[in-house]
Amino acid sequence: MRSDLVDHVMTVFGAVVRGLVYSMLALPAILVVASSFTSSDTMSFPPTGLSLRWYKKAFDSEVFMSALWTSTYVAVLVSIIALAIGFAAAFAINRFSFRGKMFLQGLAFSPLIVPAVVLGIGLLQLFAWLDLTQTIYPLLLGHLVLAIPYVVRTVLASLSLHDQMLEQAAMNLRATPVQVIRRITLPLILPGLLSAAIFAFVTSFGNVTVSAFLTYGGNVTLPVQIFTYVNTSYDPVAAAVSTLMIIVTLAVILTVERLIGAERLA
Amino acid sequence: MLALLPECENVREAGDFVVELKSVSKRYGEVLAVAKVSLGVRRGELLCLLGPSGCGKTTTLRMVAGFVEPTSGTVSINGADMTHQPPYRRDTGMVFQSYALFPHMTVAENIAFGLENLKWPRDKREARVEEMLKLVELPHLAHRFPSQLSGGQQQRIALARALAMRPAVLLLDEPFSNLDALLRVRMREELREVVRTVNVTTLFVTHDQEEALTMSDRIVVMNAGHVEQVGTPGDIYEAPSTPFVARFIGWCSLLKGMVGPDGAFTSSAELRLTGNWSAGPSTAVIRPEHIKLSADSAAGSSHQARVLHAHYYGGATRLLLDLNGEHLTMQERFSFGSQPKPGDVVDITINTHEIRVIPADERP
Repeated sequence: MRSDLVDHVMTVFGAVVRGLVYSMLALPAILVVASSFTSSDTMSFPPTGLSLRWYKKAFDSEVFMSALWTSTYVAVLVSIIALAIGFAAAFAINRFSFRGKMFLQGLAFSPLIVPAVVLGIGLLQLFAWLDLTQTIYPLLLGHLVLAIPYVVRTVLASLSLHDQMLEQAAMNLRATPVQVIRRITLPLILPGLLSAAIFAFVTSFGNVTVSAFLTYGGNVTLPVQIFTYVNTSYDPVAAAVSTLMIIVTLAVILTVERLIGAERLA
Repeated sequence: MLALLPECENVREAGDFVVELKSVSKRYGEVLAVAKVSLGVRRGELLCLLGPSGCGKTTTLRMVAGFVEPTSGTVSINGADMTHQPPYRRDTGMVFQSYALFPHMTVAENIAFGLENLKWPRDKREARVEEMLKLVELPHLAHRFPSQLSGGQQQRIALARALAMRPAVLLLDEPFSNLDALLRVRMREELREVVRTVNVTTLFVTHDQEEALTMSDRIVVMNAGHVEQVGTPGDIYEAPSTPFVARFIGWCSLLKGMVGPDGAFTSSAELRLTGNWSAGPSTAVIRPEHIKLSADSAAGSSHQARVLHAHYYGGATRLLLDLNGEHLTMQERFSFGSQPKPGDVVDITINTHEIRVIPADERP
């Protein structure tokens, strides 16, 4: 009887905690999305009236639209480059034993340990010294540094689950190492590669801390732009733009998941 | 004329052996996994590497396939030195223990994979895939994925995939170990049939003596990295050249002792077996079928032995006997109710013409 009661209490308590956690996770996004449809002049919840005027304003805003473009452009580039570098690093760590392997592994994960602000300041100084501050490279390289650890982690996980016997079989069937990677290894770890790409995209697309230091020529990324905008004004256009950001992120994740699903069916 | 001689020799050798290992060793750090193994696989034969786990047989096979590079010695295939060639330049077809079928390709794509890499034109490729599927009797599975096949079907596809390229040698790594006992026996026969049909030279690794005895033309028994004996299944079973081989293949009792100047063997417990063996410290190998109950005392000498254990196997009973302190195993069919019990004394004869006496191991 007693243990039944304890069981029951624990179950209820668990459900409450779960509910709290889920709502804490989802609530900010829901609040922002909801308040973006308001017809009033200030961000508020619950929204008063229903209108798309702030979306129109957002789409008409040269500043926000160019920031959205910059963010997307940088995030896509970062995903591709991080995937290439991260895969190479993960492959080397997984397959070969060489001098400095532990060092490479530690290096690949080190950006996770350094606080983003410190990284931002460091990179800013570095690029100032290299005289590259007026280009897109600081932003690209800064985001790459942030994204690569996630890519290495994810690819390493799928490589360690991957059956290397299949590669030996392919080699026995006269496939050269390059053919083996192209036709056996890559297709089989594709799900891992795609989730790594998502990680890289999201890391780059949503970053403020590092981006704030590295924006160039007045051309800023969307999160930094929103951040600056909200500092000075409190109109719902920020909510509309934020909603657009959520939509872009979701679209990327869903597309990639669709791709994985399709590959699994094939 | 003289200059031609070595060339002739090479031609003859290439004709004799499809795969030839010359004094091949593999060292992993402190461990010598394979120690100076020399062997040749003759054209068209099925040669089996047999031994307990860790004896180096799989390492030897992988050195032929090119997945392991020998520390010393040479590996040649069809007369060409392949010692340092990567796997994809070697003319071998391998069936892996886990089959290693590509999960993202259909059965037909799996079989065609090697042919694509060999740059066969599409029509020849398709015809060959069809031919191979017919050979393993699974033509209806061409468009399935490996995950949709049973273990036995996967194995046959793996075989078809390896044979499609017409490799000089087929390599099989414990191909039946993932199958249940009944299926194993059936697949054994099927494999033997397929290998005969295409007449491919085969090198086969197993730890299962029954598999080796029933399938092989010749067997290489390996132990602790070196070759113990090479011979036909009959040679290996009837005339083991070392106590290890005798103990590993089939059931037997090993008696340590001495062959005297008269050619008779006397065990350390003073059991005397008359014969004409060469003098010196030796081991006698006595198999259960060499011992009979003494109704027919014509062959060999008669002894009195005490029964230690009697194990009933249905068709026969295996008796563990004590003979002057030596332990011997025999097998006999007793009619119902006449089974000897532990403690009983029975008269036995040992067929000294059939038993084998091996001179003591001279290997350091």
